[in-house]
Amino acid sequence: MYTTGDTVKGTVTIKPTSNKKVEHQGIRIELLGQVELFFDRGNYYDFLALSRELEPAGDVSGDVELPFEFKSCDMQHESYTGINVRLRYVLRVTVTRGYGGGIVKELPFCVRLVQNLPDINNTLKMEVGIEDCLHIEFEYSKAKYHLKDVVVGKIYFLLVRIRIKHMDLEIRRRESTGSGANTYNESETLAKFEVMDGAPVRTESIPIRIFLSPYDLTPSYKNINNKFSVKYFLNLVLVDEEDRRYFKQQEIQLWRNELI
Amino acid sequence: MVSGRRGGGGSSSSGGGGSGGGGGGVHEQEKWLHSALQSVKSHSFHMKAALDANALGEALRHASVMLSELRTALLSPGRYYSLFLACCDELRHLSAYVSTLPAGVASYGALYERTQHCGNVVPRLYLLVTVGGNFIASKEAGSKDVLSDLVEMCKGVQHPAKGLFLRSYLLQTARDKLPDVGSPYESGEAGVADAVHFLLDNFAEMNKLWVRMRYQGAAEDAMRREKERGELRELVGKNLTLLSELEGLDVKMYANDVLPKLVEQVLACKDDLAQAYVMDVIVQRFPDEYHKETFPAFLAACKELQPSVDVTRCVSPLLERLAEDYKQAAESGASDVGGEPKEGDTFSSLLTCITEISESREDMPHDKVCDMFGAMMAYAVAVHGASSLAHVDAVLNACHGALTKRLTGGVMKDRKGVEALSRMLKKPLQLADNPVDAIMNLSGLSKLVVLLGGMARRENALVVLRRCVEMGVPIANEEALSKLLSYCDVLLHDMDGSPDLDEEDFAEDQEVVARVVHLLHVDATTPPKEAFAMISTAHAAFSKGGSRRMRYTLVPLAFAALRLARRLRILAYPQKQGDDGEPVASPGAEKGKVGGVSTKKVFGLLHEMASAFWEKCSDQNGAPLALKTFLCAGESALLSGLGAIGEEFLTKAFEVYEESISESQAQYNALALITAALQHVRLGLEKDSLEALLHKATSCSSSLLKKRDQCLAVLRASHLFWQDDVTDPRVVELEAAVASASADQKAEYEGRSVPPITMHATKDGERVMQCLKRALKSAKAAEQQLAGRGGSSSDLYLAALQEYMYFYGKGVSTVNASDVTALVELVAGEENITASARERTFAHIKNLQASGEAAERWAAVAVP
Amino acid sequence: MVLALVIGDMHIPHRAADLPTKFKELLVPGKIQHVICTGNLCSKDALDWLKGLCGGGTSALHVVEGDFDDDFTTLPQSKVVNIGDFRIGVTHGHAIVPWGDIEALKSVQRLMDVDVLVTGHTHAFAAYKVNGDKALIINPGSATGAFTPLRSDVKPSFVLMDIEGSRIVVYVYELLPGDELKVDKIVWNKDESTS
Repeated sequence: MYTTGDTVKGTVTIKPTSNKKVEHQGIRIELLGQVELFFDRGNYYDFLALSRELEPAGDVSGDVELPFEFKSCDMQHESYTGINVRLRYVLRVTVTRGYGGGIVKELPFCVRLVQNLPDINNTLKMEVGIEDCLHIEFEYSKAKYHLKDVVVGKIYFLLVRIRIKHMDLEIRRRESTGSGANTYNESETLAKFEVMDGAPVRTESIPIRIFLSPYDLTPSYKNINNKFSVKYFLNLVLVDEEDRRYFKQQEIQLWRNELI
Repeated sequence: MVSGRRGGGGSSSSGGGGSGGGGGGVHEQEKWLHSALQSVKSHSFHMKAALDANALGEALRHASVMLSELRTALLSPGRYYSLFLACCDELRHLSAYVSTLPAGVASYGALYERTQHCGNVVPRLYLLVTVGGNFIASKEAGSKDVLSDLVEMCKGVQHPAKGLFLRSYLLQTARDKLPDVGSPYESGEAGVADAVHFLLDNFAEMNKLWVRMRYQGAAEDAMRREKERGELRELVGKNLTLLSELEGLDVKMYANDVLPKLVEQVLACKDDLAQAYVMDVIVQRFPDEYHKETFPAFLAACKELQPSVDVTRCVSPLLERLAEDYKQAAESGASDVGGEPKEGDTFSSLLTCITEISESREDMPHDKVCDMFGAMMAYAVAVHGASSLAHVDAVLNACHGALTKRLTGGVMKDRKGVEALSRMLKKPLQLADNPVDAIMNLSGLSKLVVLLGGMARRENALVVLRRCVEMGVPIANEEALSKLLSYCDVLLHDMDGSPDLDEEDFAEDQEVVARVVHLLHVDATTPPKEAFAMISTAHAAFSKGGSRRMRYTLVPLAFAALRLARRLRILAYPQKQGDDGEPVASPGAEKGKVGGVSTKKVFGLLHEMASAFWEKCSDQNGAPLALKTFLCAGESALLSGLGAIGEEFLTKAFEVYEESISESQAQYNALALITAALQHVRLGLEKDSLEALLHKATSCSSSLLKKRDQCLAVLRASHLFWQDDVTDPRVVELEAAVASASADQKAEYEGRSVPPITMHATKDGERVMQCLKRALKSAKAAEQQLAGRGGSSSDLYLAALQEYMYFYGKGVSTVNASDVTALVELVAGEENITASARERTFAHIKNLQASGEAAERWAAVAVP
Repeated sequence: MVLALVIGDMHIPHRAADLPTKFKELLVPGKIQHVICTGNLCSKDALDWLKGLCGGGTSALHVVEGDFDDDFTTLPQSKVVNIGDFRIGVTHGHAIVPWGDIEALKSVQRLMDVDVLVTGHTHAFAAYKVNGDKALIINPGSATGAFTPLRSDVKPSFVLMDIEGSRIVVYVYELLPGDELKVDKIVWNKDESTS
């Protein structure tokens, strides 16, 4: 687990498989940060490429240990594996050979970034509804939550003319890949939390308390390398007796407050 | 907001429609329940295994699945309860295990958080409550904080039945963890006020859910739902029970916090089942001293309850409790409970509240209003016991005020209302010493009885009068009589709403009224003036009743007047002052006034009554009654020294006879009475007047239609002309009166003497003989009439013989032995006279001839 | 042994509200064979009470009309009842003139051809043994002590006759002032020859 500014250092160990001397054109190690879009498989966009030469051309006989160090890497983005996109960091060791191609070995590692406490973090409060049918006012304590946070709020019913069976709060992730005209969005529901069972009447106020820690969440990502964004939404879903669904989606920001 | 199309399945479905037991018949429900219980058993088994293995996480997962059975909306509340009990049982194991966990810093807190990760709200909250209990017990968190969190979070279950059971579980868990005074959970931050707050909040939420049950589901199931609701009421009531059991709750807290909140919730929900139940629980559960302090607020709330709520069911128990409380306080001699004045305040405030309730609840049925005032009356009696009449009267008057405001047309018309009012009015009658006392002291009683209308009023009046007669209640003065008669005036004259009675019932009623006259005691202890006033009042009242009534009611009154007349007569005689004193004339006697009463006025009343019989009751066979009254009154007047009045009455008797008695048997009977009366008393009649009367009697006798009647009547009339030596009947009367006077009266009567007059006995042998001969003539004529038709009236000869024998025996000179002998022979020769009858008479004569003073005289008569 | 109650002149409700309590306690159905009433009951209530006393036919009821009875029912003016060896005549007595005169009463007894004559009207108990004539004349008085113009010292009373063979024992029950019950007894034997 690394974060930006960390020094990535280690040792590359080369172990020839036979006793013979192995000739090479050079051994280098690269630290890469890559974005891979799944509809464009194999096509990696490297946003970070750091390189160190470990050995000039020569030969290797016997086990060799080659230390490396990438000091204070500026790793701006978090590792992310999503629906249609992946961002990863990888250490790549290349042993260049004249013939028969080189030998490449990769070691992925994970980067996470801790964010600062947001300066502004207003309550999300809104009155929504369908005329003559259902009016509610939802209130979520904050707009921005860290990943170990609790979503605290309440749903206040102003008008209820439908027969509600239950109410859930979903956490949804919307991943946008591409840009401009080629933007492709795909959402997935990461959590479905029942907040109410049964039919309320007007003036009822239903408390909400959802702990985020059990869920597999990441911070919100905005326009990573102009390649993708990840947004999170709280989706309030009311289901009536005839299984009709009424929902209101509200974007929230997730941020990482600590590494673990 | 977006409404999407119907999604299939998908999100956490809680099962089929309706608020409880919405689906399936009994059979299906039993299947579902059975299967759910199986599932609970199975998952709890796994849970317990996990706990044994110290795998808490796994145990919680199993618990969560087990509790998911409680998400169902398919079961009826009764069956859901079985499921609920099974789950609660299993949760006990979980809680027991959790309590064994070491209480480190935040470990329970962490657990508390962890249970909230559960995705479905019903299992999540059951787990949260369970762990919350442990949380409090561990002291890691304050009772107040956890409880207020739990009570708030439970709002996530809005389904009425599920919510009720969940909150019931919350109560169960919380009951021994309340921060009550003296509990381990009391601290600087948490005290009994917080416990109160928690219970009130939980109550409010539970009540809302409970009320909501009514409206969810199909209209045709409404009755079944209400029944199911009723079965769940104790879940809601438990909050109040726990409130009442708080050690730290005091009267101030109750008055300022608890009751206002409860009332607010009760009134806001506008549900009659909830209102009736909750108010009832409030009265039952909280101690008397609280109610005493807060009853104005409580009763004000009662005012605002739904129209269909029977307010008396809250009010009556409350009144009973307050009465109990007062009695106990009085018994224990608590001096600062305060004597009459403080209780008096309580009483009048209570009464005001009750009155306001009845005035503000226009839809309250009349019978409930009466029941409520009845309860208030019971309160007055319980608290004030013997001296409660004034208070009871206040209640009665208030009730009257309340009822008149709501009765259009002045009279209670609905049957239930009438029954309730009747019931209520019977009680005060038993409170006083006797019904008359009650009526005198309870002004409200007379006012209320008017509202009964018709039949019920009659029944009430009959109860009163019968009771008075049974108890022999003396009616001591005119005021009491007046009030009594006015109370019973439905019996005394026709009025709007008078019941239609058949002849027998009507007669019975009037005879009850008639009996009341005997309670006046006119010839005993009542002062004469008062007695006369009462008779006059009764006369006025009875006279309004029309002929149908007067024929029953005026008769005893007439006799009462006669009794009074006799008493006045005696009181008018001079009385010796002291043992050797001279007799002193009674004050006023010379003016005809004794004891403040003019004797003439008494006879004036008698005249009116007799005339009323004659003139007004002709359709009721009043003439004979008039005649008899004139005769009795006439006799009495003569004894009272009122010769002219006596003569007037006797003349009137003849008038009635001549003008109104025409049927021959009636004439015969009437004439017998007249003859007998004239024979009996003729004191003070002027010679000419007497002569006229005697002449009339004989001539009427001899002109009766039937010969037979003529004979017998004239025989009777013969006695008019012969009296044994008469003693002054007034002297006899006085002596007898003194001899039989009661202890009180002896003083009035003793030592009196009748101013002597010379008595003349009529001994007119000539007239006697005339009558006897005339009678024989009629007998012969009767015989002749019948002879042709095969009948016989020869017994008349035997009758005539008896009279001859009578006068012969008395020594009347005009009756000779030969006259007697001639008749004896006649009788002996008549075949149609029964032998034994004849023999008796002859044997009698023979006996007289055998021995005794008159033997010689009788020897002159020949007997076969 | 045949028991006959002789009672009358109740005048209910004209001159009295009810029979004295002590009398009501004594007079219960099932103990006597005959009830003889001299009249002036004056109401259906009183008549019903007499009928009740006869226990639905277990005793025989004999009632005659008094001068104040004509309002509510029709009764005979006089009646003769046979009990054991005796002919008993009953009539109210208001038409026997002079009222209460023993000779007049004896006349009626002879006329009716009875051994025992029962009359009322005077509101005073009386029992005359007319031994020469082997006759008994009885007046049970007023059962309620009702007012009468004829006297001012009326006591509630009634008579019970125990009739056996040629003997009648007459028990008279009187209620004295102070609610004291007094019982007296007179024995009369028809066959006694003394005057």
